[in-house]
Amino acid sequence: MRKTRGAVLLLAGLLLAGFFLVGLAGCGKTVKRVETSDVIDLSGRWNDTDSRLVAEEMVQDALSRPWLEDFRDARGARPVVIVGTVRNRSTEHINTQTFVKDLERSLLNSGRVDFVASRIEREEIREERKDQAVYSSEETAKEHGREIGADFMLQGSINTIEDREGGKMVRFYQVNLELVNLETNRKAWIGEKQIKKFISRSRLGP
Amino acid sequence: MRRRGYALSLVLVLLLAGCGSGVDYKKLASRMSAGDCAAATRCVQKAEEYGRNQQLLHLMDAAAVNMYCGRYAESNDFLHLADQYAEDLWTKSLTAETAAFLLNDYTIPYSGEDFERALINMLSAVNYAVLSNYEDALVECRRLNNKLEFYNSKYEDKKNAYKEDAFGRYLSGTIYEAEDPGSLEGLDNAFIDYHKAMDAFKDYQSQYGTPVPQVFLEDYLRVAEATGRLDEALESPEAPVTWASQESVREMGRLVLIHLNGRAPVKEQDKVLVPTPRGPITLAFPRFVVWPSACRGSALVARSAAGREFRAETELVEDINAIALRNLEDRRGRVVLKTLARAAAKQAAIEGISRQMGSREAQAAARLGLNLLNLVVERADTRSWRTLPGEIFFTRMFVPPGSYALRAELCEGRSRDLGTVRVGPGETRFLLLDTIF
Repeated sequence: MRKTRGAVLLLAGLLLAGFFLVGLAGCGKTVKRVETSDVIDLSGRWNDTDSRLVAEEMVQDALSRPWLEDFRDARGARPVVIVGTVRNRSTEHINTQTFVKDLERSLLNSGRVDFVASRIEREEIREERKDQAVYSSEETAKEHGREIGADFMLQGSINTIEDREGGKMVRFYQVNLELVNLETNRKAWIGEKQIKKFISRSRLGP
Repeated sequence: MRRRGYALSLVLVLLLAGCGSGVDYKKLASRMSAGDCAAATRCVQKAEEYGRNQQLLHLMDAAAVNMYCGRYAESNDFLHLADQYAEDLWTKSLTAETAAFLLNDYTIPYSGEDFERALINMLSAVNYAVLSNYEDALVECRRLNNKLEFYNSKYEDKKNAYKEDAFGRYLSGTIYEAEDPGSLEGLDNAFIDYHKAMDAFKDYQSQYGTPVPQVFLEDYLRVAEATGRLDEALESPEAPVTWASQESVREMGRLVLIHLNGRAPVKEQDKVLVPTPRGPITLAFPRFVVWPSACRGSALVARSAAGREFRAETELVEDINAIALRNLEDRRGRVVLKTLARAAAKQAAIEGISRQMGSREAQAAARLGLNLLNLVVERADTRSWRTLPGEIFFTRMFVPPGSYALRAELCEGRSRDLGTVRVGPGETRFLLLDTIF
């Protein structure tokens, strides 16, 4: 008897809770401005903080290795680096372009290497030079054939390994980067950075 | 007075125990078959028409309609939302489902069958492939594989027959080849996927009666040979096939046709009466009903500028109908105890409430009324992804680089213009054809 009442009360309670939840769904949203440097992990996926930190650490590691000094001793100049392709080999959609930009920024800000535009950027610049050759005055038009060729190319991949149990997940990111000498194909530096995230899922809603 | 209150609240709750989606699928189908994409999109774009517990169906339907209408990027936006939402719901479903336990599954949000959640990634991979975005297509293939692996790790001894998607693996290998034409890394990656696809296609053959596609065997053996693993591949006890060597197709263009055909199966209700000490109780469980397609298969015809014609017949690579049926059967085996327990709990509640009514007649009337109500309420959850295709056909052909006018030949002499494509040496073009509605 008591069990029955309990069941009925539970049913009624559930119904009320349902209505209550529906009612809550229409609550207003709040917006708070945050610093771009703030670390905010919402989903456990790869985010801007991961991108920035990995780029900074890996570039720092790359620049602390002997290849840089060796090159300067041999050539008497700073090496010219270009960032090639960073492959997304992970299980989520990562905008590798932002990571490439983070790498470029870290390299450039170090002041220890020179840097040239990537292939896509170069195409646009070449278009502009062609345009200048036709429409600009001779004094200001930029010449063809004066581009600086890169000495090294930085390329790599982002990989993930996932391990799940129920609503819990450990996601392991591994970023591999290689610096290749464009003249000799010799690998000057190989770097690896790992991030491990623990994600516990309880959120519900599209 | 209080007793009446209980009875009333139970009746009220029972009556409100969930309603299906309010979307008119007949209207949607007629709009789609008339080629009226704008009207079809309007049928599925209002989330509120689906109801709070059918939001996943809204995302899935919107994704499918956008895909069939050639809006691949928009389709992917919906698929990503659906992927995330379905995973959250599935994770939740591992915990208590009190409301559903006491009433019926309509009281909780629909989280999709396993195969439906897997096909979210499959369709997204196809969208990306058609957009030539191979990196993201491969992300979806990896997500699909991980998902199936994870589901089956959860089910311990009651595993799904659908534990690996053969076409998903085949597609993944094809995309690896397309991403890095002719490179050893691309071929290596493709071989791994083809090798897994081989096992999965054999499973399809034994589980669903789908023969291993010839076109797949040709690709598998070609890549096995190119990566020095032919011995491994030839161990498969399949009919020997001849294949074009990697060397001979290296400078060719590749045209790939993915043909989505026929309607997805629809769930209907199975009701069984189970005798218990308190009298018979009703059990409801969904089962899939297949709508066989009158027109199956197709051929891709490519006509070069010089008037030379190339032709390739498509083959069945994914029998979604068969997978759906078997997948639901597997689930039935896993949740039959839960369904029984729910029926018994409801029966006990009805019995308890009836006893509280004063006279014997009132008790009998209450019991009858509540049992009748329960008959109505004990409904099988017949929600499903209605805009899926029933089967996927596939072919690919190697053609000399150049520009081609493409058409698909369908049954009864009908054909569909697939436009003109230009394909360079080593390049791949993925094409999509749907004959669903």
